[in-house]
Amino acid sequence: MLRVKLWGTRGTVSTPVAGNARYGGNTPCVEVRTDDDVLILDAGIGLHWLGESLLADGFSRGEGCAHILVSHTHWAHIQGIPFCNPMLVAGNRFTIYGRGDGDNSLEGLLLGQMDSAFCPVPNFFDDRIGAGITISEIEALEFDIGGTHVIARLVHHVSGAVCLGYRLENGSASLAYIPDVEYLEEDHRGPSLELAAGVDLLIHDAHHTAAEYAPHRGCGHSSDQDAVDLALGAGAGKVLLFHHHPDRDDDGIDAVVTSHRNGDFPVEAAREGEDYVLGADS
Amino acid sequence: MKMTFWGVRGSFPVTAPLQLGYGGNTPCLGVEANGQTVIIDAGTGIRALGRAIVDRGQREIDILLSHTHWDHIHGFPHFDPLYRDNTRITVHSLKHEGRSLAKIFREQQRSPFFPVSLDDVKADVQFVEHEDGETFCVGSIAVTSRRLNHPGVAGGYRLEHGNSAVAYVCDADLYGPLLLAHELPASSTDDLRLQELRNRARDLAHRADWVVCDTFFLPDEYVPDWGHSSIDDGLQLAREVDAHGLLLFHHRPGRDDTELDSLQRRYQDEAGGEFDVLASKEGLEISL
Ligand SMILES: [Zn+2]
Ligand SMILES: [Zn+2]
Ligand SMILES: [Zn+2]
Repeated sequence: MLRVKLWGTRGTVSTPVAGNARYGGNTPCVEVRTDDDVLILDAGIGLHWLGESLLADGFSRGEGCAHILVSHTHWAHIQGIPFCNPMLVAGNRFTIYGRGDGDNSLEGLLLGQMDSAFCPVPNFFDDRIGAGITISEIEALEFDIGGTHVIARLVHHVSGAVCLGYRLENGSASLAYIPDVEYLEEDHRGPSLELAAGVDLLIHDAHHTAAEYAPHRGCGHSSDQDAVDLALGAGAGKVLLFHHHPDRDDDGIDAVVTSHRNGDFPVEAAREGEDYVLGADS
Repeated sequence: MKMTFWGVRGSFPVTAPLQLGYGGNTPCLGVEANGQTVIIDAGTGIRALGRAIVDRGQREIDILLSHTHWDHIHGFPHFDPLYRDNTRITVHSLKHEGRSLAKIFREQQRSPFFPVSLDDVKADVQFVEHEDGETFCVGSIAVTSRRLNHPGVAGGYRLEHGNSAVAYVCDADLYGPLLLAHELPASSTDDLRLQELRNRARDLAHRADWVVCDTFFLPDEYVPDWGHSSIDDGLQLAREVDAHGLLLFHHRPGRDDTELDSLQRRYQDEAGGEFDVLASKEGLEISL
């Protein structure tokens, strides 16, 4: 069983405006719980608030353990890490998985964010400070975290960014997370189709609307139609439009969702605070 | 001068509806004189300000940067004028001891952290580091920068135009222990340095019309080492320098509208009419 909760759904930059409040303004972070483990997809500002909820749950006593899977190192996907307060508590254990960009390891990049020129928070990646944090450069693209099978695939985003999508399988439940992807050619769809094949829930980049997409071609993001097409092609059970454009307000997102109502495929927009239970009835 | 608040929140942007009355964007102010806007700090508030500046057609832009902690610079890559031709952006800060200001900004804006490198933007971006205590002109505004007690190289500003003066004292632990000590071993001169830093904050704020002050903490929340002041510290400074008004600023994430409303009332009472107290609010405009 996978219990999914959305803590950040916004792309690129946090948007503290009232008109975005229903779908949420925090940058990407998704909590996924199994019966035994805490898994976290991406570490945007949503991670701060997820961290506060973990403190109410064993992490304040230094007894917590969580696994963070990072899609890529654009700021919006890692900027919550310095403000994840359970990482300041000794005894907690975190593993952060992801990939650097070839020139820099994931560890080097994450340490760069904690550099004292930028970051007022103590560098808890130092063994002597705070939680025990392991940074794990993903080599093999398939591995297990407890009872959860993780499949990672490189997806096409923008040049210079090494970007991963993830598939999580636990019992009969499955989830795919592809927050940043662009399909410039048919080959680019392959890894996503593999990740999303038959999943219960697909969380997919829908930064643009199909109507707006043309001038943004090559900027690394999908449209709502790309997300729906991919979900249909992969036989996903449901698609959540994710990574909302910072200037798309709640009404704008509603309009996008409504435009898919005539198809009989379930399309929803990712809304901060929403949760989903996958594989409960088996 | 007219001062407009575009971001008032410290540490990181908050988006919860109950905090949006005062606002969730990280620090950014616009100070307008003779039709030119000077920007203070480049938190996420600079995103909306950048659009306003483009609409107004201003192509010479100065940004006074307090320091390079994330919350004061992470709006910069989202600053619309960066991506416009015929635009010159000058970023000012205090003199850096190690890495230059330019290098720190290049580090923020490069692959694989951000898709557009600072070398590929359309605007001409310049970085200028000033000596502590130096006064320079930005348009018709005279600006003085002084170092404050905060980890790393952090400076506050005093802006003067005609008879009016505004001080920006953020981020700073005004009355706490010396926070630059990690650079040097503790020594007998620490007390002296601390006194010096406190005097610099007082210089900036001296009889100012408004002091925009780091008031992150309530007294019972205070943590040494974080480099922030409490609201009581802000009041003490305003009193010591005979300021006309105190703007509570760099609000702690999580502090919601109701709490800020009541803190504003409580500290207005506490000031007892000696000076004004306002909690900074996104969209607030103050004419001087
Ligand atoms: Zn993204
Ligand atoms: Zn700050
Ligand atoms: Zn700071």
